Amino acid sequence: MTAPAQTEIKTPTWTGQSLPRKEDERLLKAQGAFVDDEGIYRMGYAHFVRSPKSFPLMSAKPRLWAGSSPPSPVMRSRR
Amino acid sequence: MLLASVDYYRPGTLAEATNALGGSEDARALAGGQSLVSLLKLRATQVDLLVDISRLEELRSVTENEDGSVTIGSCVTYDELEHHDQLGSTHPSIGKVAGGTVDQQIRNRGTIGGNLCHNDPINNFPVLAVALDATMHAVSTTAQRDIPATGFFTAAFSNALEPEELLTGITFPALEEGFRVGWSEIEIGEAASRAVAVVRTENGSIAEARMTLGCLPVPTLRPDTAAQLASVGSSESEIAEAVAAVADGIDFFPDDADASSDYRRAMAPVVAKRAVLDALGDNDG
Amino acid sequence: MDKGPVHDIEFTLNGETRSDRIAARQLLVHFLRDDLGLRGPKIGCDTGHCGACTVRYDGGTIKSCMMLAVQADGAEITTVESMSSDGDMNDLQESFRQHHGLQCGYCTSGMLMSSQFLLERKPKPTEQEIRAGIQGNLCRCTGYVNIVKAIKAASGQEVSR
Repeated sequence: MTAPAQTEIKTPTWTGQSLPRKEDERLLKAQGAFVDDEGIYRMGYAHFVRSPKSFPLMSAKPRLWAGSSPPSPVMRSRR
Repeated sequence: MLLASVDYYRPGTLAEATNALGGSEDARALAGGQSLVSLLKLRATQVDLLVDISRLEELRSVTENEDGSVTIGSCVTYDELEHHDQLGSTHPSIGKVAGGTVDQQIRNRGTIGGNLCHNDPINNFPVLAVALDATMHAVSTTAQRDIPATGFFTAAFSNALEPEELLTGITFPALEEGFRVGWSEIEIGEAASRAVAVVRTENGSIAEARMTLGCLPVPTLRPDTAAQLASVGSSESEIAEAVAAVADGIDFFPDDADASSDYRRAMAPVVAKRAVLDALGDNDG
Repeated sequence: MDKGPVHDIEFTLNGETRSDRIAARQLLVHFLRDDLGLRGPKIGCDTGHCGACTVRYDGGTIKSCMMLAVQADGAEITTVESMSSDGDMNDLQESFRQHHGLQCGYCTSGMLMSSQFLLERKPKPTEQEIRAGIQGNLCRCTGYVNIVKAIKAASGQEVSR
């Protein structure tokens, strides 16, 4: 099968050039500084748990009922 | 996501595996883990002990039997099934279905046994096993038994194995002379509708057929539709007419995020027709 | 240390054998990232869909968020870091750079692992085979076009500009 006839494409020398990016080498070598990779100084962690009640009275340190999936806080409801 | 506390044991023999499973109520067999680890991450199931059977040689072979049937070990991966030369010539539908499963990474780990035992309605192998009239081989510390595919799937995500039993292999009978296998599915997000047709033609008409619908809690044979198909010609309109009632009497899943119940019901005859056409068409069987 | 069951394992990581004591419940991706400091495998979806966590296990690509670390016992594991172990990028990585096969770079580790596996099996893949080969790796930035081009070029086949 013969190759289709191609018009002569000049490699652009001004606009339209393909420029390699500075950051690609780091990213390709898995040296990217993503937040989960590097962290931030004194970074904290949070887990969000869903409340089973809408306007609960909560103690200062809610206990987690680990038996549920996912863990949910033990709460007393106003109603 | 973090798993709840769980322990892990890697038995060296099948006997050690069945002992471990029999010894604890919340012990579960771990094969490829592509379904089970997911469940554990979501904490959707409680397991105390994972018994890793994925490396047991007894569960990893594909054996051609003298009568032309093939016995596949429960821990053979989708990738191995896809690239198995002999299986490709005797039972091509198995490798084809395996090769079309999800993606390469899942296929490198996921096993046919796991796919069958998990019996997620969107899984491939339950419907194929019923369509091809396969037999499951189960083993416990005290006994072994064979379970026909038609009796293996009891409900969505459920199978007929006892907690201490292990699925060791699946035997697919030889495809009888003249029979071809066709497969069709419609995906909306996940697979929403699926049919497998096993068809034999004679003089341009369908002589015998076997129709199975998937994406149901239990893969369901449709003998009435199969009877309708026998002795129709192979034109699309005749086939469409023969499968028109394939959804009758079936409880489809209620409306969910992917598809409505009505849609699934309406698509059943479509995939049934397409599966028959696939079987008649120029696929490799 | 974790309060649950722990096990001692021995395995080969990027060509070097090592022994570790790990909690049975720990996932392989967390073990590689947090305990061994390998940031290549990434957590993108945590449900086994995106493939950002892809590593090689006994030769085959697997999603490390779908495996327990303890399953590494007796196995050979390779991460993307092995591609530039001598400090330089390998040909596949060079091709990704040349053909802009990445933007944010988050899917890239996984893409490289899957491409490497694909090219070992199919040295001259068609575009369709390439797309099928990376089906387990999701990219939100590039639209896959340049990734496919990079892989095709890495296989020595001609690509359009």
